[in-house]
Amino acid sequence: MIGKSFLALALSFLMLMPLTAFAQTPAMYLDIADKNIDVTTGFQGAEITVFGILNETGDVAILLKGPEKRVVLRRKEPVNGMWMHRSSMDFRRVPLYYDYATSRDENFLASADTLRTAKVGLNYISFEPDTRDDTRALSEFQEALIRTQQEKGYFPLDPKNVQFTGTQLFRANFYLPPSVPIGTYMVEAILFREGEIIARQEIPIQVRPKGLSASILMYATNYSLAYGLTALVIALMAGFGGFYLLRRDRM
Amino acid sequence: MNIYLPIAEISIPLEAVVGLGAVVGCLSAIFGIGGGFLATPFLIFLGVPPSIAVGTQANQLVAASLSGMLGHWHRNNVDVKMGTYMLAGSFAGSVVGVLIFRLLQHFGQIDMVINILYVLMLTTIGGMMLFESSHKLLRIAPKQKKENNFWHRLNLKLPYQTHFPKSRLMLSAIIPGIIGFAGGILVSIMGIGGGFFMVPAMIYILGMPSLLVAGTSLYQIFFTTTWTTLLQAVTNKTVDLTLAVMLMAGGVVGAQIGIRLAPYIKGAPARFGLAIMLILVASKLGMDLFVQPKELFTLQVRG
Repeated sequence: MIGKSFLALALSFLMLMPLTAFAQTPAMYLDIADKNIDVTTGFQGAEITVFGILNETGDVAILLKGPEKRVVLRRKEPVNGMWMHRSSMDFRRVPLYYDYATSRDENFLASADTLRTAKVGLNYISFEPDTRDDTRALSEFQEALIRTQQEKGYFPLDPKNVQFTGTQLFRANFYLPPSVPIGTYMVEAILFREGEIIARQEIPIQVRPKGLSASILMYATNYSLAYGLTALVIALMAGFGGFYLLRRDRM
Repeated sequence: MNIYLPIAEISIPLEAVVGLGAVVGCLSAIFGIGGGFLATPFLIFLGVPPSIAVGTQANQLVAASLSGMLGHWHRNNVDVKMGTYMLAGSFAGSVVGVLIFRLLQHFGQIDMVINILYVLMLTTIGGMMLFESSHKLLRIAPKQKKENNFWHRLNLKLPYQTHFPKSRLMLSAIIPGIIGFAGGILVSIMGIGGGFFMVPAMIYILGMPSLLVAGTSLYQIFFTTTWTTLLQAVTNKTVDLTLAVMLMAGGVVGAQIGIRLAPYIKGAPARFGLAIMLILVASKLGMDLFVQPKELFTLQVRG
């Protein structure tokens, strides 16, 4: 299915090309098969396929960034032999999900500074701490942030490849795990040539609850009293049901 | 098969949750225990955030305590007046418990406190059950309990002396209030009904007839968990209906299995086995506190 839509998309790009060639030709086109990811009750994870076409030569990096939130990292230390949270550090605007694909090893795409500003690759993204004191432990906390996110499958263990078909068409696949953070995601493609960024394009993706899980979330947040009462009515039915079933058996 | 929980924002295996509900329902049908002590830690172990495990458990306990209470109600074993006095305390207790929970969560200590409370609770119940069942198995006659003078003297000094006709007791209303208060805190911090604590307290501190104790505590737990469910849904939004429905469905099925198994199960050996299980769970949780964890860091998204 993905292959087919990829082909269709590629064809439409090729057909559009002569028309746009007269105007200022963008260096890169980018599109996504599905800009909405519906998280239903039976959600089993989702694949995000990013397609694109290059009108110039260069190397491509594609980033997928989840919603940014403030997070706190806590560190356990032994207190009289018992391991408890003792120190913590808050970080502002941490993407709850991050993955990336490159057409070649990101270290050769551009200078470290350029990669850092563009946030390409786990080695080049950094997180702003909220507390200015205790800068000694900063790198330890930052490493732990990446590690704990990797464990949940929210950050990648290895970079992915941007695959080329010929010299112009490219695609990259990302995978969102079943317990994916909800929110607006951003797909960003960056075109590098000789260490410089010559083009970039962003497309938002909505990862949102849908169907039953969306209504439950909506009622729980907006009509919490009615939601609580519904929960009670269901519990009362289960309680009465359980009792009468048991009583019938005992008689 | 995984199922997505909209409030917890995670996806967990459906079989594990329904199975957990079934085991809890089965145990309650056989032993007459609530089973919250098993469900809450297991949900946390599955990756459900502690606040949502506790909030949803309150909702599940409404169903469990109602079907338990109805049985006692039919046999006229509920002291409504005593239960209602306890409720006054437990409503306040669950509000205080929710506040304590939030405070601990803010400081990142909630997991540890829940863990410690479970170790204490499981060791206590497991130990008592082990003692009682091994004595039964070895046919040692239980010693006669001495009258508890401390509570008796304390009671006489306290105001609001009230007559509880059904239990044939003259008591200060403050004492059942305090027991209810502690029970309410347990519901909103640990996600358990608190029967393990209230039943002995009602027997040894209030001196209630043991026939009325189970029904009255279930009456109290039913209304406390009803109140706590509303409180958690409105203030903390920690009741996950998807999770609660799966647990309750499993519970109804489990109770059916339990009631069919019950005739084949001998009381004392079964309680002995359960006691060993509780102590094993407690030692596993205790180990987690004292053995260096693989990952020292934990990440929490600030709301």
